[in-house]
Amino acid sequence: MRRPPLTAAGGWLAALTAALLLLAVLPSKAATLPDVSAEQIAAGKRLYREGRTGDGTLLRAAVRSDVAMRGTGLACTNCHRRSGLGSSEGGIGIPPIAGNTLFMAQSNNLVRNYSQGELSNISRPAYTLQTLARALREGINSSGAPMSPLMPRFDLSDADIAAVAAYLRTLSAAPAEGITEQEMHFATVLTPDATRAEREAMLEVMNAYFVRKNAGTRGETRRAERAPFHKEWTYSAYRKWVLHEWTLDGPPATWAGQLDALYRKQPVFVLLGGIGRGDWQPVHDFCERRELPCLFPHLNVPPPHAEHDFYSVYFSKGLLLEAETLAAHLRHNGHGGETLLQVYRPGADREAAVALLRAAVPGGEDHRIAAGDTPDAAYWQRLLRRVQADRVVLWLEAQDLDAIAALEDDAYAPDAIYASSTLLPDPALLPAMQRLHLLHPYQLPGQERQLARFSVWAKQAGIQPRELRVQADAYFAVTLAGEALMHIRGNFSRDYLIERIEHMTDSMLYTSTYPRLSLAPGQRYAAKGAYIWRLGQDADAAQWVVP
Amino acid sequence: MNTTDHTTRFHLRPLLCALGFGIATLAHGADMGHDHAMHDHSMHDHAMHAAAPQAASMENHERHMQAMNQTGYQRAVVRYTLPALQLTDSHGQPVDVAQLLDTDRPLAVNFIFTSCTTICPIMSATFAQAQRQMGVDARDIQWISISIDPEYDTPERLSAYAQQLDADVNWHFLTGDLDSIIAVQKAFAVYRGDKMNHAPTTLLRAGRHQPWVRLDGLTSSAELVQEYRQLAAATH
Repeated sequence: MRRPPLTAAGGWLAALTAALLLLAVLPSKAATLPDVSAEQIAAGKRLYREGRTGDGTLLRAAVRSDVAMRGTGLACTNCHRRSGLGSSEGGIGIPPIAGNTLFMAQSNNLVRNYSQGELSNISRPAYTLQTLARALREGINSSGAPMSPLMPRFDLSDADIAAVAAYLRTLSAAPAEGITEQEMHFATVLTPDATRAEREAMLEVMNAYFVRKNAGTRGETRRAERAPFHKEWTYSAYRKWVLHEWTLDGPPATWAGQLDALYRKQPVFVLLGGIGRGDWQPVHDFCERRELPCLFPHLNVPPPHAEHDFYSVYFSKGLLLEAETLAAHLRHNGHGGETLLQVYRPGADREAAVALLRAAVPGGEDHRIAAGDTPDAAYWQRLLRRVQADRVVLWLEAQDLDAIAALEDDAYAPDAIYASSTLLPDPALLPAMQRLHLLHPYQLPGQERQLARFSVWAKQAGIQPRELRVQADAYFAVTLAGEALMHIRGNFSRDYLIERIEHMTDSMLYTSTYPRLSLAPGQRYAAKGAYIWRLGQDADAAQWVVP
Repeated sequence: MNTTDHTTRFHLRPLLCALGFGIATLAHGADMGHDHAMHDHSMHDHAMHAAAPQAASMENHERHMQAMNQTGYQRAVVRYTLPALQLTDSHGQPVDVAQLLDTDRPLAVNFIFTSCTTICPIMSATFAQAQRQMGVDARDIQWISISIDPEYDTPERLSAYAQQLDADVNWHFLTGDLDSIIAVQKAFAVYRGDKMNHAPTTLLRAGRHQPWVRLDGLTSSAELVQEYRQLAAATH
């Protein structure tokens, strides 16, 4: 351990350090554990993640001395998390139990004693199979001290304990790919359905952020050479950030192969940002298969069941959120039985939204505009006469909305018209219509002060506003990644990174173009609601709906 | 406004002082949870923590008994004034908070969210176990769990959560719009901004016009039942 320089100011500290050093239990080599089989590791993983014991029954335990609990809620992963690196919730710290920590002696860490004062007196011998069994069954730690009453006292067989020990030794043990001694590699995925302007807008923000980040890091790596002891852990985690652009082409069915080839050529630690307008499932599946975090891509529709998976985190459900919001709004207001006309252009994103809303409101018609058609006033009039809808939903981009005033100025005009905001980056371009509502998961006019942080940064970086939602999302993705990577310090575990993001997102000051972004363990869509905003009205009257 | 009847928290400041002078053999029985309850977790690195604190001088048995006996929560008697608020129950029905609280039935209130993995499952299990332990007496009480993550905890999610817990009709799960949920947390002095910072708090009240007994920290089921019985005995 490097000592702090003995300056006058640091002298007392050095003396304290020396005194504590004598008391510290020095790390010893990992306790020897018996050989384990792949079956044992798999059984340990089931116990850790699902709370299932070797004979297939659910875990049983007592918590807080007498609260009996049973089942998946008791699985180790709940508190110690998938990474095994611990967590904290409700002000209660959960220690790491991954094998690299558990089966090593923990010394009194000087950093903690200094930086966190009274809260840090943590040292214990390495766990053995015997002391682990005692900890799990009786709640006595490896130095013989009672553990927190929150640690369940489990009813486990010897075989179960051996299995969980075997699994813990593998947990977060392999060095993560995409990180070298000097560099941390990121990739951002661009699918062919995003426009060139959008891709460039995103890349400009990300590249500018990386340049600035690295300019700072150069200083940090120099400081790491001569860091005082209490900052070593910070500086040693710094790496130069390298961004790789992974541009996909061809049909989505070929993307998995392309992504695998790109990854083999250059493994990365995280997929950051990214942009896609249509199918994103192949990218999502690739991240899950590679156990690779895929953080906050800018999409029209992410895969709808990301909460069954772990590695991809999205801003919102996009068009599906808009469809769910309208469905909830119509249901709450007793309009579920009315006639609904949905108009859309072909595309995986829009078709998914149409199907979702149709399932909630069965009556009416889904009308796809044919490839060569341009919807003019006569087109809308014919459609209204044929369907005679109470409500019309437009899953259309700006170029198809030139003549929509005809929807209102007609004897067959519907009671309300709804348009997707995600497909219309600038609501100001819409015609002034009394019955037109925007399905709007974004900030309302007047709330954009939340973008001030980005605007100031972009101005300093010399970036002009264009494709604002794309730029703002990219900025959120890189700044959150920057903060989360600072929090994980030298623990380069992808699982731990995701766990930190689950915990940190709520406290981010900057929320891109969304009113609020929030996550928690297992949550995968950060924005949860949308405004139903009647454009003829003041934005203040817009109604926030959470489906 | 808060009148603390008695405090059971172990004070760790003397420990720091002792450490500062290099005395490592120090007896204390504080459990880990309360070490951490005293500082903001947001910047600290859990992966650098090891296991629970230890003390070298105390006999294992003694320490064990101390940990088992310690209550580990703080108790205070407090009065709260609630603003007019409307929440939503797990059936999607509106609930007027003033009406809900305008009752002579005893109340037990806690604050949870369904995707909370650490303390909420324990708090909910503690409510469930206390109800089992109390038997028919539990039916006199209205048990109320208020979600502090209302946009994720829709009535449907709360309903599924209640089902997992086998909750009966006397146990209400409430959500609402974000502003109302923040307001109700502020009214009960449990609002901590970010939901990840929430702390385990249970509130008990014997009846209309009675003060609340506020329990900060995680109680065992027996402790919760005991607190309720004390409260009921004192009021009747």
